[in-house]
Amino acid sequence: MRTEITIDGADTAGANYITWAPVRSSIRLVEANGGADPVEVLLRNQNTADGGQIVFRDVISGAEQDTLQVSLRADGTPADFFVAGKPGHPSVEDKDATIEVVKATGQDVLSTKALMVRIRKNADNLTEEERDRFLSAFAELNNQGMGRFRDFRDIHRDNTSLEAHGRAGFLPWHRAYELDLERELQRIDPSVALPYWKFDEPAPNLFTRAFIGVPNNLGRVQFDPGNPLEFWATDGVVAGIERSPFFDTDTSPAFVISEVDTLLLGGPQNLYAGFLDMEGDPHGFAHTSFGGSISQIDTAAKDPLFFLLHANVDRLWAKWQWLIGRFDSADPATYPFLGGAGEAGATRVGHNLKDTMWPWNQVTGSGPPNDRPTTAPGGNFPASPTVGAPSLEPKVGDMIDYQGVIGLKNRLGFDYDDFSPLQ
Amino acid sequence: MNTPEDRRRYAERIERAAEEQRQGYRVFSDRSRPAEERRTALHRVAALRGEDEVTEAVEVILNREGDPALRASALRTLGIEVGKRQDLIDMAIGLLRNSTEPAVVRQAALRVLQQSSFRAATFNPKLPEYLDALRTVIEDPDASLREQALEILAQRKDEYCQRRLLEGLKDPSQALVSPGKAVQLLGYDVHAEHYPLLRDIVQNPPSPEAKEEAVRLLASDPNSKELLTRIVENKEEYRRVRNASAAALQSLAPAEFEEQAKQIVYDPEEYDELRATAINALTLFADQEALDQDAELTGRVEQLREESPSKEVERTADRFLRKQRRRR
Repeated sequence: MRTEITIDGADTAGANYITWAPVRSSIRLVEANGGADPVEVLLRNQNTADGGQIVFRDVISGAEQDTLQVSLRADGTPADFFVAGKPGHPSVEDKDATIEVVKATGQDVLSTKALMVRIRKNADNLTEEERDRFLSAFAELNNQGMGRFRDFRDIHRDNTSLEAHGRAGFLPWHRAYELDLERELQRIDPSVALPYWKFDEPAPNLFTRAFIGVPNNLGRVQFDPGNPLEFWATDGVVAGIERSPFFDTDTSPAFVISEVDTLLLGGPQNLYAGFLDMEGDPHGFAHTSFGGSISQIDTAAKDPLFFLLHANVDRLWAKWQWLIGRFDSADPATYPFLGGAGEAGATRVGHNLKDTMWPWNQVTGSGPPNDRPTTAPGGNFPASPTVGAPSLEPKVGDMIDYQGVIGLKNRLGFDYDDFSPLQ
Repeated sequence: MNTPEDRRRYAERIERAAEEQRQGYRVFSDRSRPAEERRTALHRVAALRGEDEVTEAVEVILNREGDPALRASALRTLGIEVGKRQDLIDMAIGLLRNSTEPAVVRQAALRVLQQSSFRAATFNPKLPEYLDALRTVIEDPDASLREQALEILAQRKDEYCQRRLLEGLKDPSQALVSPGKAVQLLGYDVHAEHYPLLRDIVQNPPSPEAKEEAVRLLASDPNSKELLTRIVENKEEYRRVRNASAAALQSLAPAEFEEQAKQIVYDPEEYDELRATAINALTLFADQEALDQDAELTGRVEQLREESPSKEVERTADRFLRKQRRRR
């Protein structure tokens, strides 16, 4: 007797990467070998001591369970269920979360299915393996300034800043930008999730020569020999990174307001319009807690730390959404500009909920009211094997319901390690 | 955190922080209290926002009789509003430009202005004034302010700043910063006409740091290939300079460097840092199919992984071999 599990969103190699959000799955008997009909089986984690852990639901609205009993028809009819990562138990390496199917009576293992609970984690807490996989993928993506990363470098510049800064679209645009990068890293190594720099706490394990580097007395970042970032180069000109912290990276946070103070920016009514002030503090002050390229819009994306900083900016927005329940894009408290550019009450193009976002929409310099930069590097938004959203030309509104709280189809395929959707 | 109870507890924590903010503001705005106490209270306030709070903060910031540290903290805590209001940007530029203001206040102004520059829609109209203020600050006696201003201008490819950096490199009596820093700042916009000067710095370095920085910039100069090769081959060279030359050469002439990297891996006399760098380059950038056919190299890397006392060599060799295994 044998069973077969299918989980939605497998990649071309048949591998599954899940987050805290439930994913539709099914199980069926493939070799019934006569005997009872139906057959009662139990789904459980093979190793409950280490690695990623999985929870099960019989229906989408059901309660999360560590095990799930399922009745399987002898004729091979699939039975549906849902899997999700167990909060607090993300994977540390690829395929370290294994579903084991056993007969409900007895312990015969009928089949296993290994997957990964792939979650964005605090960079300061990564294992050496996780850190090195991330750095290797990033170095390969950059390929000394000649790789695909060059598009990311070209997208975040002074002459494109109005697409991404100073207005309501700041947070959705950067969510898309970070997700685009993460998907490119995952094409190189699917076990990589973008780590975040929790800038309101000391991060002594991040600011090391083995990870994001430590500056010399000139602010030139030094790496351990063998660190994949050792050959970092951008703009086809200068090898290396300039970054001088104005704070003690071993013992102090950056010059930013704390996480709880950030979550208070929405005011008593918890409005996005108020929360957006986080673009100044902590976001802006996190950038300017350093000298060097990260302290200016035009040069910030030269430094890989930029992407860990912005992963934390996104995490703070995500946490605010989680805390207040701000996932419904029809609610102006979730996002204030509900229409599209040119409509009454709209703001600049690219910052309204129904606007597509540059550069993924590939629209260039058409003049007001659709004023865009003159080039659109990088092409459309990359598709993911794991989830169906966003579209190739994502709209601002596509970035809101990233966990699929309002609709499962909205899931963007990432989550953070310190909070998860409410049961 | 994934249950309603988790969220309720977190929300209570947020509410306590809100009360602390209110208490902090009451202390800060009480002018009868000592400056130190008011400044400490500002940490609890987190961000001064709204008309009343802005008015209160501006009075404190502009009070030249007031405690400089309190003024600087108030300016810092007003950062969000400065990024949204051009009148407050004007105020901060005025403080930065005024050399009679205390350094701590001007430092805070510079930090707040840089932060505000990320809000391009509001800040861009004020950018010319900001850059003009920075051009005056590069002559400032305060070394920290001077260096920060130079860096911001260099990143923005400011011609006046570049001219002053070059003048300082040619004539040390005109130097605004150390030669190493000046070379590094030139790197934000290096031109072909800079290469002869950079090669001269490499051959007659005013400091090892300046030499290392110049080597990095020569990574884009085709005429420097031989010079960089000589440095990589020179076992008497400073290690940092040699490693930087290896990285530069890898960028400039990847095929030649690949052969050199293999020699470094085989050379029993080489030091471990350079060996790790060489293995790293091969792992990341070499022709992977060719590497797979090179059993001798694979054997040498396996040997280094097992026998090298260097953790960096061991880790890099392991990554090389794991990547090779994944391809097979």
